[in-house]
Amino acid sequence: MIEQIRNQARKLLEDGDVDVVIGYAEGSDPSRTTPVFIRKAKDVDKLIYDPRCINSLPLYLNKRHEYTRKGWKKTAIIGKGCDIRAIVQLIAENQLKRDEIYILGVPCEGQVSHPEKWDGSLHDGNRATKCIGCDVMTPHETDFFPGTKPDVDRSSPYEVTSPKVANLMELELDKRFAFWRTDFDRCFKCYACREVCPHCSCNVCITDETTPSWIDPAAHKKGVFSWHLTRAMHLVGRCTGCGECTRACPMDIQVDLFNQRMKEVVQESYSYKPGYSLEDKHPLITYQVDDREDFIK
Amino acid sequence: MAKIGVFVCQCGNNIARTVDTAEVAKYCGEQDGVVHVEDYKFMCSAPGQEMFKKAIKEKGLDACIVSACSPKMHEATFRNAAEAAGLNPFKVEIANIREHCSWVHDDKAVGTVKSKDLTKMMIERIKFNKPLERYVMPLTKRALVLGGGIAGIQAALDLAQAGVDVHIVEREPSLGGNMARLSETFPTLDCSQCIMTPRMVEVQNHPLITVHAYAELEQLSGYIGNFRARIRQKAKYVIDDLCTGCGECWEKCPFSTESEFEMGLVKRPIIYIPFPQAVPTVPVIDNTECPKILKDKCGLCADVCGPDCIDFTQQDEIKEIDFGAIIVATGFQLMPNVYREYGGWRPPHMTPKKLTAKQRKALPRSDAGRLVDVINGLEFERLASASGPTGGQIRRPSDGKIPEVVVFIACVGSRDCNKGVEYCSKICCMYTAKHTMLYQHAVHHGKSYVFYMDIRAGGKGYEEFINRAQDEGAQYVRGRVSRLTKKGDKILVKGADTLTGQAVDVEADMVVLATAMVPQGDSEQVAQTLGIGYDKHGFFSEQHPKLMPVESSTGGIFLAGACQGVKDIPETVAQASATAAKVLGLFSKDEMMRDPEIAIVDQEKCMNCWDCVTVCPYLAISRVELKDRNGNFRKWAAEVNPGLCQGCGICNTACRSKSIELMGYTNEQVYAQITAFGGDII
Repeated sequence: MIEQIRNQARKLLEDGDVDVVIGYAEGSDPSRTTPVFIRKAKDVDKLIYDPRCINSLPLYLNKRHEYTRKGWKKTAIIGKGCDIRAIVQLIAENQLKRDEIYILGVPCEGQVSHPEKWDGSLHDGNRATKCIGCDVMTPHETDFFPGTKPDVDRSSPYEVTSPKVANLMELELDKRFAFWRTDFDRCFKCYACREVCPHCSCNVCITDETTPSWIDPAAHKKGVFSWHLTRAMHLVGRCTGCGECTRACPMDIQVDLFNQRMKEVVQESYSYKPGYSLEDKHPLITYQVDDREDFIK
Repeated sequence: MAKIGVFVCQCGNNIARTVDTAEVAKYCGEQDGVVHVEDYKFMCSAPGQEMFKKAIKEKGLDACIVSACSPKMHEATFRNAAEAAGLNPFKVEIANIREHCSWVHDDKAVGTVKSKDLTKMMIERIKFNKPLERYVMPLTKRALVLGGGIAGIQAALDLAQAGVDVHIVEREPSLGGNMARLSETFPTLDCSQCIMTPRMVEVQNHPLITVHAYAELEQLSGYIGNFRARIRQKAKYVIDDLCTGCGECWEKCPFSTESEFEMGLVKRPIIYIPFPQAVPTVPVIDNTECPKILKDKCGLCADVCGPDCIDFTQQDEIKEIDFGAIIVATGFQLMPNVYREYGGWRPPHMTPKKLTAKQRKALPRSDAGRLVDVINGLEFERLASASGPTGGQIRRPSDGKIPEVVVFIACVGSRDCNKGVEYCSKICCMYTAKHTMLYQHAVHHGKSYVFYMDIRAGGKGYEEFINRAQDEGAQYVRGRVSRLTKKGDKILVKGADTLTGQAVDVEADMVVLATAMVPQGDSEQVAQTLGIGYDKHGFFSEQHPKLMPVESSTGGIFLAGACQGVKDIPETVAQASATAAKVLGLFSKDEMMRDPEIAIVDQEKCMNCWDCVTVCPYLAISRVELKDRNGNFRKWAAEVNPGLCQGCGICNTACRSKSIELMGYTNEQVYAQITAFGGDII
């Protein structure tokens, strides 16, 4: 499979169809992989793909990384289904043009949740929670796909994969709040969750605003709560569930629980799954006559 | 340091009853930046305003807060007063301590504390208010009237007589609308066409009125004073300038289809004018039916046409015209297919799906499930009209027999939350009474029954008219009809008389339903094209139900007639004239002043997600390319058109990067206001 991808990448680079191929290469440690930017056709053999490739590459397509400034007109990117959801969402939000991107789709059987858990094979003990119930193991939007792409029914609703969301929702409101109070005590506002998010694309993040300073910059309860709640609200209807925010958190705070819950709410209220359509706008900015309004009481 | 003045109003006893205004004034006086306070009985009175102006001048105030009633009431009053005293009007804010405070609290202690908080929030907020200047916008003095019914005709004539260039866009081939269909009008029983057609001719002959018949508005861009309309002139296949309206073509046309004007009671040719007095008298070819256009067969009309004005190759034409104001007069329809689909009136065994083969055979094929002689009000109008399909003789549709017993049922679909609309259609009581009279006048020995819920005859001469109908023989039965069934060639009407508590069965030859008045089927689409508000029924929403009843939610677009709500003819005409007056008011100046409380974009911060473009209900935000000093493309950004923006603030909430601000409601102002109330919640 990876040979076909490498050949296609080589062909694209040799023909000058793309300026760069973004993919995965072996990391410094055998349990890890690292993102790699291939500029020359001779380097394509560095590309690999296996269940260790959990990083979300579309992050590098986000405008705030300013790769367009390097003069790259067209970028090829290796995408597993969940990453392609992020790419599609970026296109839907006008952060990217479809013709700037060449998507090398890969079939995916799931990813290990953490490199330390990699023991040479993927099994239920080390599979990432986002991979359970995934409907894009065969990616939906690709320019190249090794072999033939089977038809997959993706009409079923988004599944909340983390049982923790359901567990939290069962708790009384004050207990739930207590949970977050304890968890957020660890947050020191490094903003890794923001930096790793493919959808955080503001030129000036609201937390960096000073006139006025909407979000208190200090890492006390008020500052931390207002940051995480704002982040969650800004991703409603846009988060495609890559789970990178939680993975990137140095303090092991499961910040994507908010996003997962919000995704569930959006799906229930508006039957909308972000990341599946290049044109559809997210439900918080659109109005349809049959939208549910039962939350207005 | 700010020099803020705070003026606390007692509003007689309205505020003072539950708010200790002296205490509020004292508290405000202690706040940073406040240099002057007043506590007065009526701030809005002439002495109150004088006091306000004097304080500004003498103390050199640079911002003022009036703690009084809603800004909807007196914001303009105090802003104008401030302007007169030399202070920028946008440095005046209102703290609403009446509607938001004294009127909703009983406890004076609570009311006083809340008033203090509300005023303090405004004090902190106003420190960030910037002086704003009003915009001057250009103005195109040409009006567009959408719809050529009586409302559109009246508005267009009023405007044209005042010297305004008017264009009427009518989607049917002729002006006239629903009023042209009516036989006689209540409460005077004068012939509708006799009063309507002179107006139509006047429109046609007026040098300042241009009629675009058989045309539709496709797109509208721009803003008050500067709209641009894209009008689609549908292909008539007849050259307007050559046609003399001689009628050779429509008389010779060998094909026919149901006539829309005659409510499908008779057929019309494929090349047609809707009715003999049509304006303009230029026929159109129905391109969904014409065999020449569909399969290149026939073409007889072109052969008989003397001036050679038939052109089968004609295409739709797009015209782009600039307007300064728009009057929407798209009218109404009767709730469509009420006798076919209005389940309540179909006994279960008569609905098409549940008919047995035998029952279906017993019915005329094309009318399976339908009681042919159950008609709606407009169909009855055509039957009673001297120019109608029966030449004014009331004959029932099924066999042409003159009906001996006619049952009129009021409130069909109206005042019915389950199967119809919840509102009262208002005109049905009157036109039903009129129908009974028309029927009694035409069929002297006939018997008419009216099943009604209540009689609502509020209007000049209306109650007298109902009495007259009853005197002339109509039998009024207060009660509803439960079902209509076929009985031989008659219709068995099973109803109740709730005044005597008895069941009433009538064997009728014909049943006339006073069907609910609803907006045109595509009214929501029209509203979206125009960018105006509409309610859940599809009626266009007025800006304010009492004080701005003819303005739509968008500046420069006005509403006339039944498209805004159910109305009879006099009300429609009055509203149409009101819109004309509004347009003339708008056109009385050479340029317009716009309030500066509109959104502006920080284009460097804008991340061009275009969420603001998607949410803007006024289409006021566009995408622009930013260039560097050498003219090279730098980045995309959103831009607000100050003429279109109504300052609703939806874009502000949609903008994640906080790149859009509403002038007068900037982030800093709002943040200061919120933190003044409670900065530390967690």
